[in-house]
Amino acid sequence: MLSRWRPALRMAWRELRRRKVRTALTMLLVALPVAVGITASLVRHNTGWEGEQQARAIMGSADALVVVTPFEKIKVAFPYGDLQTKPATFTRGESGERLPVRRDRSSVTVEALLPEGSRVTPAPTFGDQAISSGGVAFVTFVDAADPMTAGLQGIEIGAGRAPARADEAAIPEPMADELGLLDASGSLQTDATLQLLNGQALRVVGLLKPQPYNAARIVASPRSVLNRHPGSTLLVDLPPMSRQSTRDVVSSLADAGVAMMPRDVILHPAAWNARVPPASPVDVASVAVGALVVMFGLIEVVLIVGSAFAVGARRQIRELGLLSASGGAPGDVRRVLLAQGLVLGAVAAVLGAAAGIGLFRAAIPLYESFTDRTVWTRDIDWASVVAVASLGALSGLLAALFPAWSISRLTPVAALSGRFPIRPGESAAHRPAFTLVGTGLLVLVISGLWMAREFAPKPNGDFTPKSPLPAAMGGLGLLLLVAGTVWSAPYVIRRVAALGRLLPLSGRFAFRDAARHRFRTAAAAIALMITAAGAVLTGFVVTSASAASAAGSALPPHSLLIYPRDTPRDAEQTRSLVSTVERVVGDVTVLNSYQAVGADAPRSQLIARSHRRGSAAGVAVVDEGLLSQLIGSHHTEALQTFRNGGVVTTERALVRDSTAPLLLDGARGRGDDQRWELPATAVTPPRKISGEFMRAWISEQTAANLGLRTRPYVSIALTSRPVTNEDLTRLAVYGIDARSEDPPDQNWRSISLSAIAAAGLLTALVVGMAVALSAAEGRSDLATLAAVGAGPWRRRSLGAMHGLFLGLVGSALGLAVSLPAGLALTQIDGLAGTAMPWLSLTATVVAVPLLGALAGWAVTPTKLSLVRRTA
Amino acid sequence: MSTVPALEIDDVSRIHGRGDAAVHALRGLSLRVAPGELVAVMGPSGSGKSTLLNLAGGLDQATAGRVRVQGEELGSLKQAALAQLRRRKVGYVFQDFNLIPSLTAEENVALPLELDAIRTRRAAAMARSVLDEVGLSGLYDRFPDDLSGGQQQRVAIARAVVGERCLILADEPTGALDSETGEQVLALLRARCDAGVAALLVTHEARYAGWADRVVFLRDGTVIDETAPLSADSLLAGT
Repeated sequence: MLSRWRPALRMAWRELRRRKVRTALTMLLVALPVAVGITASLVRHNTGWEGEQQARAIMGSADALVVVTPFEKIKVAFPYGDLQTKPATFTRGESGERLPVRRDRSSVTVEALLPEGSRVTPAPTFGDQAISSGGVAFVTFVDAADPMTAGLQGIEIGAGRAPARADEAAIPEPMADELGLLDASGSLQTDATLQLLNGQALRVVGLLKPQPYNAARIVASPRSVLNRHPGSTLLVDLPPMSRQSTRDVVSSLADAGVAMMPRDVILHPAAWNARVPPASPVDVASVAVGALVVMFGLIEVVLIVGSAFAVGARRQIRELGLLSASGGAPGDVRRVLLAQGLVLGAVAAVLGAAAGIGLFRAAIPLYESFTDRTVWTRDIDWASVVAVASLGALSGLLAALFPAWSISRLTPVAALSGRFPIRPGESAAHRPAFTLVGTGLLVLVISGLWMAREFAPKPNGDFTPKSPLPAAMGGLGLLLLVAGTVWSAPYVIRRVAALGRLLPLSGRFAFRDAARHRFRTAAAAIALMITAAGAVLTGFVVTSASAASAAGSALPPHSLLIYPRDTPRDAEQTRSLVSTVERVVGDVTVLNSYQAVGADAPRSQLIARSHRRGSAAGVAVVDEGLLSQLIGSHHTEALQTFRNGGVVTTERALVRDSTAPLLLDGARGRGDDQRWELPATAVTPPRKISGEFMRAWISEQTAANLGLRTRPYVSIALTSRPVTNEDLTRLAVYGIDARSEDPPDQNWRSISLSAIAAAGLLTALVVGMAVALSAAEGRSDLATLAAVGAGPWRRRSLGAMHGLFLGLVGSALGLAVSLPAGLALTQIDGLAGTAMPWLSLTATVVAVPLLGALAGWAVTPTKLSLVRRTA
Repeated sequence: MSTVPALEIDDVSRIHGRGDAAVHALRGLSLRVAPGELVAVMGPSGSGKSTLLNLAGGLDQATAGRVRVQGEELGSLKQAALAQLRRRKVGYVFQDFNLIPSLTAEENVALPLELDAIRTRRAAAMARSVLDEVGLSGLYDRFPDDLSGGQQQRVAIARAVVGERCLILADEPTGALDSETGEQVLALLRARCDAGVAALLVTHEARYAGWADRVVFLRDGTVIDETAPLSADSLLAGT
């Protein structure tokens, strides 16, 4: 049996080499997703919280972490990869109790206990320090110049040098800028000095690289004047030694009351009998989305490459007929085309894997600048490389399946004559195809409804595992829908082409030609269909995830939540705060909330309690503008209640007969609280509400009417631009403790734009390729047209109309697949409604046909050579 | 030499299409070709010459009647058996050479043998031997694009006769060749027939029909005349 593959493989290899451009284009379509998949997989492998990344965070680049304990002798264990110590020797106390034997830590010289050639440096210790500008800086005492500390606590010196002397420090660049320590060129001034509130001053000798922290920060040497409590933990570089020798060192140090955790424990926990930390619960939604993305990606590659294969197979049809005439059975014909898929898929997978590994190395710096994180390893996870590459190779084979099957069904005579006869009854084949489409739609609708129920947000505390079945059902529905649509494509082409009779000559000719060669046209239209579907589904994923992110966000976009510091805060302090925030982030609108307390009971608390037991909510006094931000300005009835002296709440259980009971808890002691019954309206907010704002609100006027005093609490500053981590660091310099949810939103926006741009680029590439391949098949018709006097413009307009037809059918079929699939599958995000990707929908409807027309125009030659005329 | 006819066609009809669009390519045609015999088929375009060849090689199925190759009836054979028949008993030579461009001359000739699961080395040796016979020694590794028209047709004949073939079906094998090369190709075909292989040659040209033992004239799918080869001049005179 294998011997029959030999000529097939030989013919496949030679054919692929002979048609270099077509082979390169098809290989690109397989290699590109393989490269992207491998890059994504390797980036994920190297940035996950495990192995080297975890070791870096705990002990930098050191070989071990050593802790000098206060006990004479200890036992050491590494449960879940952590260091755990307990005393091993005991004595009896005065009353006979069992006490561990202690000793003075300073009596231990760790270096003397370590193997010769070892080197130690203090592990980081921490503190905080008020600075003269009003903020409190988080201080890390670490020798940042020592290579052993590289990567610890995210500390990296970006400019200048690491602090070494007792009076030196390094600070973040925005902090230095805010304190006026940078010169005009943005470099650190030579005499830059950081003034502390206690009158001390530190020489600033270095600037820290950007990091995902928003606090004012100081990095100082362990010998710093500020370090009043030097630690007893050390980082150690050990000489090269075996695992057994390391075990012996751990054991001998434990006998001296010193605990050592080697790096090897984190990298190879099993070798140290360290139990692997329990796996976090599987996020069914993420896994399902990942599986659906992989499945659709595979379908997309198979259909696009399959379309290119179909064109290639049709062009070899006479050779394959000759194979039959020479005694080849249908199986031999199939083998030749399958061998092409196999060879092409395998070579493309290898090239894609190599490109993916190269791309991964180039992508890491991008990842680092994007996330402000340093990636310390460049490990190649060969298992995932092989898995993704195998999928790529498989896609090549799958892509060749249908063309191989359909051509092997031709009679030798038909194949030798180069014709694709339409079999009797084939025109009726649309019925089972539409049945498949209907079944797919039905399965998608059921799965969408099921997912909407399964993944809808549950009350707090409900962690019932989600079922993966509805997502699997959605995948099946998508598969059936795609299969049915592909099957029905020739019929749809025939129907759409009938509209061509209404068009001028070029359109009429192009549409009729498409219908006449509908199986040939179908290959190109299917490639466009799956690409358009991919673009729309990408839009659905991005829009839905963005909406889910906004719904999960507790703060309005472009805003700062400012925590109280000066309480009570007078008008002058408020003005000062606003002016500082405006200086850092530009114009702001500050909306305030207040705590309401009894006039003579400053520790009292205003709460709303339901008529029935069990439900209660804190009541905050807020500006009307802030209430609009929290509940949305469309709740006009609630805003009216608020203005009229009532309560607005998100807790429906608090409201009965349009009133809610309020209680000043702790006003006069137990059982003597003040109570009111106020008009109330319950609302459903558009997004989560940050806990600081509580869940019920009254106006300042209402609080005053109730005889309550108010004192400033948290505020929201609405900014005119996204707030960055740098802004937060700058505000922290002045002691303004603020939070924003803008930074992740900015990242999300970049990711979304990248995904949409990639989908657009792929769409343009496939439209161009499909139209060009299809046009190449009709070139002999163009030669005939030229021979009867059609000028270049006429030929080009024919090409454009042909491209337009492909674009129209492709985008229509793409929408038929992606709209129901997108509507159903995005229910997995558990949003109340469905976020529609209007941009990608419009782009698909408008851009794909236009791109098709443009490509058709561009690939039609204005001059036909004699060879082409006679082809 | 075997007495069983290499090819027997009994009362064969072939209709393409249905209803009003039906085309009668052959109408009750009968023909026998004995081993070692070279039969030329002549006739105008659309007379059914190519259809006859396709039916004889099992590339197409008759609507009615029987086609036998070495006594084996093709109508009763399944696809795989028909493919085996083309690998072992019937060889094709086409007007436009029809070599597989991605295979060398030797690989093209060896293809039917390799498809028949003969080991590559042995198939290559057999192919070289036949290529030597048709005068293509030393051109084994040339691809079709690197060969002249005459050389390509010799490769095609080598492929048609390689192995134990008993019947060669040649459809205008000289149509794309100059007259001198055409004569050489016919001489080769004649030599194979003299060695015992039967051949059915479709041609438009009287001078090539002169190489045949018999000439069969077709018109509208039926045999209108069957004669011993005449001189080219008498054929051209419209006999």
